[in-house]
Amino acid sequence: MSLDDAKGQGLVGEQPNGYLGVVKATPEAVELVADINNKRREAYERIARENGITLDQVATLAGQKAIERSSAGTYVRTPDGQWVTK
Amino acid sequence: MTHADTPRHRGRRIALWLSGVLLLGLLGCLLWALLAWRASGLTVQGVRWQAGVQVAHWNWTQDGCVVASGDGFRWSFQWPLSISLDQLDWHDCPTPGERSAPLRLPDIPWIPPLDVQIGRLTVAGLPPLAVSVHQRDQRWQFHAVHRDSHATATLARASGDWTLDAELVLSQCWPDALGTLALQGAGQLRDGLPEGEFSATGTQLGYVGQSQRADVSLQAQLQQRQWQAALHLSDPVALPAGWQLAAGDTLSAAGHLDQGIEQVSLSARASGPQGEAHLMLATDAPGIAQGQGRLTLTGKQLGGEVPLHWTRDTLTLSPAQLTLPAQVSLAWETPLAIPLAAEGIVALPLHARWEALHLTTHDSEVAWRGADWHWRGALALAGEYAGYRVRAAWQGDADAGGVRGAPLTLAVRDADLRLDVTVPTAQLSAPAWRTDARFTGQYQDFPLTGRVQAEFHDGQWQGRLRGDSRLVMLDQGGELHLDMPWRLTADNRLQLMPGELRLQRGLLGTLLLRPMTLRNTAPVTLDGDGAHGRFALHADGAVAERWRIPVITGELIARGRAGEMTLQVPDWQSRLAASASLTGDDMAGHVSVTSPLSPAMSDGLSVIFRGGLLEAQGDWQWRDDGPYIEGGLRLRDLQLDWGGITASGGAGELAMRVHGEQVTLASRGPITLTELDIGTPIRNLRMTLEHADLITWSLSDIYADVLGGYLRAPALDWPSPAFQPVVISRISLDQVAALQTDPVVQLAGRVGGYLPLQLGTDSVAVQGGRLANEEPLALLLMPSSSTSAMAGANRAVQLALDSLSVLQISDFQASLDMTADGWLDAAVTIRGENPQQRRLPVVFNYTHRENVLVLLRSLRIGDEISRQVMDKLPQPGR
Amino acid sequence: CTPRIALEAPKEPITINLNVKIDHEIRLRVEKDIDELFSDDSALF
Repeated sequence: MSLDDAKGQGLVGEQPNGYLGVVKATPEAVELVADINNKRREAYERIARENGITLDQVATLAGQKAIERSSAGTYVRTPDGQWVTK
Repeated sequence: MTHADTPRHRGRRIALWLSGVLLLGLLGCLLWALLAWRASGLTVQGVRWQAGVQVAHWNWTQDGCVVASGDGFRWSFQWPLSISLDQLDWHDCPTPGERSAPLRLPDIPWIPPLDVQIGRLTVAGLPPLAVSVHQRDQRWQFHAVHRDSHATATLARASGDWTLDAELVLSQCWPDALGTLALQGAGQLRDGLPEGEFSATGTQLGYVGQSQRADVSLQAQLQQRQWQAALHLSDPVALPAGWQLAAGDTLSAAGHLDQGIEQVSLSARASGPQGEAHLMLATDAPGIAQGQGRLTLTGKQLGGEVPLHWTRDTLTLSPAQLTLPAQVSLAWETPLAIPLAAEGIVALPLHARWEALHLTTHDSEVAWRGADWHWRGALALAGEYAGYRVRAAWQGDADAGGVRGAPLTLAVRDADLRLDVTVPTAQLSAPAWRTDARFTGQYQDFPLTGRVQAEFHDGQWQGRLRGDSRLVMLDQGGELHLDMPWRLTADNRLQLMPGELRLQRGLLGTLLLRPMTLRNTAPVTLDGDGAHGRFALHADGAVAERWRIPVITGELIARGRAGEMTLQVPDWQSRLAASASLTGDDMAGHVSVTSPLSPAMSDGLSVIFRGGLLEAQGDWQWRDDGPYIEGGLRLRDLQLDWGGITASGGAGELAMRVHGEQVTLASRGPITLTELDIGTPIRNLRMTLEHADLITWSLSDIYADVLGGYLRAPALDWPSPAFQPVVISRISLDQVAALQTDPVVQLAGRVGGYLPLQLGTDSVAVQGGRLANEEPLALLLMPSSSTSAMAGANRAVQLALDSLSVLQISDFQASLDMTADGWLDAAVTIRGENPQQRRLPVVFNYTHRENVLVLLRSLRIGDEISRQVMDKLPQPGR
Repeated sequence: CTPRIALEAPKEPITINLNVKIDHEIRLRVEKDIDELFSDDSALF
């Protein structure tokens, strides 16, 4: 299952902390999210080191951008933890 | 007178008449014999006439039942009459009519001298016999032999006098009996009944497998249809199952052949491992065929009294209650009438109790015929066993071969458990008693279904338990499957043979638990204390949104009320060892963890472990409000980074205490960090953790080398809104100057002071910081693009810059404030002289505003070169 | 009396006031690096 399919089916969504979140828990969704987040973390780590900032700062910046760029109808999480569709 | 009357002639006519009559008689006889033959039911095969009659095989049927059959019948025409048979089988045909009437010998007709030889006579109940009969002058002599046993009887037809003399070797006649029995008797036959004296003496009577041997003697008389008998035991007689019959005058009885028993007095006392049983029977009054009696059981495992009442053909047990071995008590409320006959039916409304379990029977009855019995009825069990409320019901038939009936239903309940078991008994038969029970129910919130197979094989109960359930606390999946062959050891302990418990993958919120299996390769024994044995664990780990746990392997060793567990996470090279023991109902033990710290372990954290070794151990206790752990944590060679910021050389020992939800930490001795690079290196950090509950950390004796000097604080709480003073000293200004990305000034000399710090969760603020020079300082302005640009623009500036160009500072005062977001406001007052300007006294008021966090970040920006430096750092596990 | 220029330090110190505000212009590389993550082939977002 690709990331876009998962987002399309409302299984996963973007979160302010820069990591993908599971909206509707299925084993496949959790595996996909874990795999994507693992890759994002490695990317954030590289960017953090190259920009002298912390991992969390990169992740937070990425999170804001991801939420902005989320296509309509997909889920995004509000700072207080609610899943809403864009 | 005619010619025919001459005497000779008359003689010939008489002879002719006689022969005619004879011929007619013969023909009549033949005809009668044929008719009699046809009616007698005798059939013969292979008849040959040769010096007598020979019949290969014959049998004699009466009313459709073969009474007798045989082969090799020879009757030779010689005198005296001699008949011999090779084989004679006498079958037991039910003769209709009054069965209980005593057998009456038929009147023996006159018979010419006769010899009969039977090679092999078989009669039901007797071993095969070789029999010979001689009759001379109407005096009969019977002789029967079976291996070493023999019996001789004589009967004089005229006077009716008879004698009997026999000696039987019991072991040859009945398999389990031992000893020899001698029988003597003599008397007169009066209208078919052998009246007279009769005695039997048994010597060394015994039972196979029992050591006791006994001599027994029995006397009996029969006169005018009245009989009388007495049995005397000179030694205890061995009975099966370790019981024995005590010596003494056990029985004396009398009766009439037609009216049955009229007088009896029986007192049999038996003793065995479980206790003693004493049976007494007596007649109500002489001559009446009925009487009272009593069976009393005494001893450590037996008890109770059963009043008896007997008539000629029925024994009635009055209501009674008996205690039997293993504290089973048996009772019946209504009298039990047992027919004294070879076959019959008796109703058995029994009620049994064992500890707290009651078993009652409903319309139960036993029918028997000879040795085989058949029970039919319904059973109901209710009560408590080992803390469980138990109900069971079954209805059906049972006999020596097995049990058949409706499925047995069993319900087991306690506070946590509800179990309903059905055991089909359609064909439950000895010796395997193969059963296939199904159960459903619930243990606390866990659903239970499954199947238990059992059979008795190779002398032990064994079978297979398969059960399914589900971890209900999981939102999805988490099915549990148990497949465990079992057997019951000789000493009644349940053994779980190699089997498996499998947990399917399941979801707990967004945490995916991968499948797990628990296997035992060797039998695990269960007994009162619990399980004894080893289980191998293999778990495929777990996956969460931002971290994952790889494969876990381990071993559980159960030792009744104690046990150990070791777990490994091969990918992380982590190892956990735990011990547990159950005392009363609280569980406690020890746990130890050793693990290198690798990046994979820190996926879910905002920090990345680069290296280090964690060793933790502690004593734990499980109380109702969760786990209690008291222990310690040791860290060595800790290396980690937060992206741009790196730390290395971390070490420390912490004491840890977990009370339910509440975790407290305190360090044993200082916690040290060799270097923390935040853009500028902070080295040789040292602090002691007084108390931490994972939210607030209170530190003491804080020290660190920074910017050539050091920082020290007696105590700091983090996070805390308060401004807590930190002393800094020996800060060398040249290192401060080195922080300038675009160096404008060069400084030298040491400053110190104190900074009231406000430590936020992820920020630091300073309010009212004071710095002063700790020695004369020096300042040198650097010709740089920015300064020359300023100078060119304004003469005054040029003058100022010239005067500042070199400054020997005698007095340096600075006040510092920094907001949480990093904005530093420094106000510096410098008094000094410019040696190049003839010691021009200068007062330099300088304010500096800069974002320190951005500054430090810019210092950390790794371009190509410095990243290689970063990558050189040892990064295990990446 | 001959005028004597005494090159002695002027008694009154010269006072200089300097206010410096440093604004680091951090190269906005972070934004660029993060934007790269959203390119199609990275399949991370």
